[in-house]
Amino acid sequence: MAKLCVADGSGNFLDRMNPLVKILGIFSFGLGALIWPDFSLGLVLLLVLFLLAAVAGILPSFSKLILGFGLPVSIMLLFIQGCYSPKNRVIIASWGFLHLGLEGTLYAAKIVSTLLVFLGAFYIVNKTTYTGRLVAALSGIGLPAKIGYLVLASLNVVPQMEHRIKVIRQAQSARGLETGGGLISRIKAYLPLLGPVVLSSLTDSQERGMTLETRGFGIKGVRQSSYVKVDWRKSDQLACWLLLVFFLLVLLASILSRTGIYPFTYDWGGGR
Amino acid sequence: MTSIIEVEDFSFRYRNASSAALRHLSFEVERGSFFCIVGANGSGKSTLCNALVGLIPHYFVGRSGGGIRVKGNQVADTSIPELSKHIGLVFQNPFNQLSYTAGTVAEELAYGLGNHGVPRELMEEKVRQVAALMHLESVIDKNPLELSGGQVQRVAFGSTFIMEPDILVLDECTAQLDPLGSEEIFDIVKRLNDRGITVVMVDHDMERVARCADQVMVLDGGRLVAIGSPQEVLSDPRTMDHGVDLPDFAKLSLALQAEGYPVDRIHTTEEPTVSMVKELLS
Amino acid sequence: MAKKEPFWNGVLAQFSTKSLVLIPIAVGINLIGGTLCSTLKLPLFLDMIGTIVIACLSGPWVAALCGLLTNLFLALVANPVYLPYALSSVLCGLVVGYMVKAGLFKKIWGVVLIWLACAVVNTVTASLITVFVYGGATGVNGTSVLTAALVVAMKNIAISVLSSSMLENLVDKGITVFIAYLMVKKIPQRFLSQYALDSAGDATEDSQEDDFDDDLDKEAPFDGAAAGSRAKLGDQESQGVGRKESGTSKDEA
Repeated sequence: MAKLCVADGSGNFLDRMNPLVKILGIFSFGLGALIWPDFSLGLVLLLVLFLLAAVAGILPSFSKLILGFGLPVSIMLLFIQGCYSPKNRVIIASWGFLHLGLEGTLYAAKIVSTLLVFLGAFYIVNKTTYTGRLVAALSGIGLPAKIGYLVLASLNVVPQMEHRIKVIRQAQSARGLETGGGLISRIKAYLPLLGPVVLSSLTDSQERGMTLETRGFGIKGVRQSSYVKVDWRKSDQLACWLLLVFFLLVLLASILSRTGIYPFTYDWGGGR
Repeated sequence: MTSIIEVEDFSFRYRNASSAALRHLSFEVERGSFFCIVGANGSGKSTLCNALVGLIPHYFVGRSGGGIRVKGNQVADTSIPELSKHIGLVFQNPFNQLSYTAGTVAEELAYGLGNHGVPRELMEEKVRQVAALMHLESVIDKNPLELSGGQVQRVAFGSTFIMEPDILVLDECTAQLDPLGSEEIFDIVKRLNDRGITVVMVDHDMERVARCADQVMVLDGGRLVAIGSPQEVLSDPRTMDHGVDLPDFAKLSLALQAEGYPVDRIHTTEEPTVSMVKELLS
Repeated sequence: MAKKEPFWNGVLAQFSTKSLVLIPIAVGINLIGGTLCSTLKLPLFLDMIGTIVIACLSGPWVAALCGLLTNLFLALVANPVYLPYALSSVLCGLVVGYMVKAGLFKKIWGVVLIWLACAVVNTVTASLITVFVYGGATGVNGTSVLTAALVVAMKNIAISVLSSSMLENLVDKGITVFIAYLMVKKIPQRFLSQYALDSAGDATEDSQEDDFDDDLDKEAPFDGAAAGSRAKLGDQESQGVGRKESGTSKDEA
């Protein structure tokens, strides 16, 4: 996966940041948006994420993901929840048989904003982190070597298999094999391709297992070390504290406003 | 000379297989020697290689009898990671010998060390040494999946050799490579053997076997049918009955002998054959 | 507690290196099925073929892990939306795995049963996730549109999600199970017999009269004591080298 290997600890601060801090960031942002009583914090965090994406230089693809997922899901949820949620009391708009309810709309907005914060944060972390470094960092805090293997091997093996399929497919169409046509003929053309690739991949796996075993995979009583360097800098420590403090503040504010002691959020009328 | 591998009446049958893959094998390999195994396809060569490094009985399921000792360790009672410090295996398909966890050649080379918990500083040092030995310096930061077959095979070799085993088991490790890549690998093998590493090699290139081996063993149907110096085994026409080709030089000598020329000895390598032919011509 | 421990030991025994290396391949098969459907513009997923194949080879828990990783992978490289559905993949892997373990994959009616179970489990869990995580629609497939239409007709979000998904799942899992069945039948016996859950093979080694010389010299049957007496190495017998069954994983299965 060439594109996963570019971020190697050089470049901008997101690339350099310890992968564990970034994972903490996903949860701090995502859970923060989730526990906040309405959609406003999610919206703010989404703006922050756009900023971070711009810093990381992945703004175009980030925007594409957020809009490509966010718009359709917003419309669908606005329709399903906004018009048909059983919680609807206050009707804010009506077109013919459609009645847009306030409660359902707020609920839809909350779901969409929380989802987008989770997705966006996950996407940015994924794009700025070399998976090898992430696994090395996780192994450092006790992730079993077998799980580390599975994550890395899946990321390496799957593109290789897809490549093999593509090569065969090109060879087939070069020989004039019908790849268009009706549904049945398309299925007929593709099924025989899958068989050999799948079977050879399965039998190959036996030799790959031999390789792993002879290199000490699954060794007992030894703490694994890694060639990939994962630092824990002062800036990581700082970011770690900031994220934790942020989450605790959100938690506190949410509890206060949900119990009605001190409302931090605007009362939209219906509320949750 | 002392034996580094002792195989004692070893037999193995894969689970649910209709016949045994290895039958009552007994032989010894001397420390520092170059030991070649030849035989037709399906004669049990690969199974034997797997048994030497402990994949049988620790990885492959089946029924085994007899025993194998590597540097005094009973293979059946020693774990594969423990054995890998003494004996390493390189086999045919280069791409099946990658860990699939490494983003660069350096990480791939270090994979085995990481599993054994070797500290990073020592790891870097060893990776540098092995990369130099295997001529991999120029690709050290590349993704191993993007290299050529010959390069990947050298990576596989390096990943095995970085564990510093005393014995290398090579199961047709050059069969999928072009002649150039094959020679590169073989030069490294020869150099390691000169340094005192014991080599157990399965190969189909009989000229190479005749040239390099100290001992040759012939397998047929899982049985040991002949063992001895290359001169003894590879000059004997009966070896061909077991599906093993003789070196072209031996075939030449035999053909000349059959034609009635005064050939007193069947030569298996180039130089004596050339001088013999020269003598006959003069 | 005393009952639980052997269970977990059995689960852990399923995660041998031999099974672990199958997982990335099975994840690959799942994803190839999925991408094939989208390139062929089929209204299906077919993203569980690998999970079912691996359930036949390595058992329920490995299949569950395979399902989890498939969704994790999709989330990493394609769209994070897929992550919550890992739950339904995991459950399907478990259900299929245990049904295969019960020997259902050998009979046609058993395969049909696996198909139905798989479709029901997937429908229920996926629908619950769609309703509770995404509020009813993910906006990434045709099912969402169907759901919306059903919401209009039936005015109940949960039921709508469920019924639109059931229809799709019955067709999808039918094809998936059928392809997986064909695939497992095609895997060479030599490979299959190395796995603990040898569901397609009928021969059991224990019933065989084992003898390494069965098709050659019958007069010299292999025998542990004979091996010991022929041994040159003095301490060989004391180390218990004689006859040994290395297929431990089979006994556990």
